[in-house]
Amino acid sequence: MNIILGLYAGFGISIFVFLMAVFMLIKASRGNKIKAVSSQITQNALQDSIQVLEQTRKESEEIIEDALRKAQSTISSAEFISKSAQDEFDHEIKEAEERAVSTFNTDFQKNEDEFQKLYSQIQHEFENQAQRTMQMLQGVVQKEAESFRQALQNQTINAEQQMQGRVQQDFARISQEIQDYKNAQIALINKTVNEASKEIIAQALKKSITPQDHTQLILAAFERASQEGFIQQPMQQNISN
Amino acid sequence: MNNQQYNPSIKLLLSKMLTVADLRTQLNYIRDIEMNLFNVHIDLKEQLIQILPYEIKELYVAAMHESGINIQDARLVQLFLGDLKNKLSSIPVMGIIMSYPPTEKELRNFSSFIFTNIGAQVVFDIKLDQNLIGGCRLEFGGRIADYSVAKMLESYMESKIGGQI
Repeated sequence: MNIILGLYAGFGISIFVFLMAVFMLIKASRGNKIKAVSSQITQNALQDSIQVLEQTRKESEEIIEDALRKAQSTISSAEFISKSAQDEFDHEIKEAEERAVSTFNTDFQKNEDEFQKLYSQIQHEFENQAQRTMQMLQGVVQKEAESFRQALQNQTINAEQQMQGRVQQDFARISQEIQDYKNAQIALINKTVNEASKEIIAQALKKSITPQDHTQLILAAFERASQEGFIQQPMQQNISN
Repeated sequence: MNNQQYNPSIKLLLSKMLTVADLRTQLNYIRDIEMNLFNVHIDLKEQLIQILPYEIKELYVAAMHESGINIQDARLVQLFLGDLKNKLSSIPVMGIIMSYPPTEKELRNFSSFIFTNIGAQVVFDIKLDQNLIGGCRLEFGGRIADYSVAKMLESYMESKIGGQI
């Protein structure tokens, strides 16, 4: 980079000198007196300029060649460096990859071990928990079974007592119904006997009561009604037309 | 009904009232006579002969005579009949249910018995029910009393057989 800047600076300086010479020539040519001088100078300047230009060209070429060489060298170096860096980078990448793989394998193994350990621990805890839960459930089930057995026993006893009470009630009710039916039947029989007896007696009395007996019975009824106060105070009843 | 203040013919007439039927018959007689009183052209004594049985007619004439009523005076006769109608209507009625139809003599004995015991005349409203066997069931003053043989027999049977239940 510095080489290129140097080349550009030399080239600039040459052009500046050339321009100054041209300017001096132009200025000298303006003067009549110094026309020849100026021509000489111009010639000299031209020669110098050509020489300078040639020198400059040579130097420039040299510089350019040098710069090119340096550039080539630099490029080669850069390529070399680049290749080296690339190789190194690849190498580092490969190492990093290998380290990563190694680390991963190591971590994986470590994680696997930890996982196995954790898994074993969890499994163990789970088994313990499951065992405790089973024991607890077993206790609960036993308790529930005992409670159910007790409830069933109580229910059975209650049902038995209720059934016994109901049987006793039914027995009492049926006994009462039988007794009522018996009483009703006895009453019916007595009523039938009563009516039959009464009918027989009535028929016998109807045949045996004489007109005189009827009169005496009526008079006896009046006598009894009078004694009982039934006809003591006659009430007036109008006979309508 | 105390008829001590009545004249003999009225007493005799009332004493012939034994049943409700007798009362109604007598009240019908009076109504027929009253209807003829409005006819001034007829002989009222002849009308009494035509309307009333002889024995009753004689009692009516005697009663009016004893009361000093001229039988030709329609107005006085009407007053007499009105008073007699009131007397007949005021006789108390005794319902009597019997097992046999009584004779007039028996009814007279019954009426006399009642008059003797309570000092008042009653007329009988007679109904028959052979199931009573004997005796009677009385209805008087809104009350009922059963003095029949059937009732006595039922009470007896109840006491003998019904008490065993």
